Amino acid sequence: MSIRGEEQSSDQSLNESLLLLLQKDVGFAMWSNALREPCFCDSWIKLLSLVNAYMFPSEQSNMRKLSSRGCSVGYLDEQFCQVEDLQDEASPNFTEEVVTLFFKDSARLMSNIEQALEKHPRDFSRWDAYMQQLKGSCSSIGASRMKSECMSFRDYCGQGNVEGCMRSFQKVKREHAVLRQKLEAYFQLLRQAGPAGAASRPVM
Amino acid sequence: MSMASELHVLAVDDSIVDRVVISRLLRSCKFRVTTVDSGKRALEVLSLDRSVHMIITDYCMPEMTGYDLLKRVKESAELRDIPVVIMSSENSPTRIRRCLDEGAEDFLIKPVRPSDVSRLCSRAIMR
Repeated sequence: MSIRGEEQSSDQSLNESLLLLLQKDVGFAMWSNALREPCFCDSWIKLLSLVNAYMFPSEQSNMRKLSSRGCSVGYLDEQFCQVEDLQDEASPNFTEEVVTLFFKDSARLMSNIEQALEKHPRDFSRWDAYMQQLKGSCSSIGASRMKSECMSFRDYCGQGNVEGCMRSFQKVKREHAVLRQKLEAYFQLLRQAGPAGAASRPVM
Repeated sequence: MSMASELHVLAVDDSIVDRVVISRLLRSCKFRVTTVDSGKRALEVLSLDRSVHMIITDYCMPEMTGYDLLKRVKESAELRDIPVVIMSSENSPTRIRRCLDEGAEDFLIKPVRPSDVSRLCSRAIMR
């Protein structure tokens, strides 16, 4: 990867760590592990600023993909990156718009399921149909853990297992809440890190 | 040979999230896109707008499934030549065969990839 300019970040050790990660091309694995450490998370904003300052715009996209994965390891799959790839200058907030839409729509679907569980006991066909919709939405934005719990629920519907359905629905709700927190934090970090650098390419 | 920018696609999906994503995918390939949330609405649009070059529809929708919509399109003298692509999250060989036998142009497994849409774009331009 190319690095712009010869100026050094005021935080030299962080910059050097970043360069080391990039040069060794193990960024993703190390970042995702490192992000589990609270102290590293505190430097996340600084890292994203470095990405903006030190990388060409074409490279920033890849680093943001790594960062979104790092923030949400296990919670999001490749589909989230596909959604991010659809973002461009014409639709600069596309990802956040889709995510916002997802949480609004999924809240509605979960409310439908909750009501169905209460008002239509043992109506596994109805429960399954509602959960299929929710699973589809999860799949569309890459919400892999939530999708997995949706599939679990549907399996229990297929077995006619009420208790199993109830338990897995609670898990669906928990995964939804956690994912919302993580993505809100992610977008907050992106906003704090600032937009992609508009400076011209350096003389190499 | 048509250019992608002249091609009008009608996207049908009851999920608003999926409509937004598929619409963006299609627009990134320079298609002109109209989205509706049901088979019934799709037929209304098709009766009023003769500029639709391709229909891409979800399979599982309430009231009228994508398969039902496919059948209605293929049974219509005015609409039967419009290619219909089915999308589904269920990778069911029976379902796929059923749709292709009914005249579907293609069957895509959700989530739809940019490469799927690019392939549709290339085929549509060649028509």
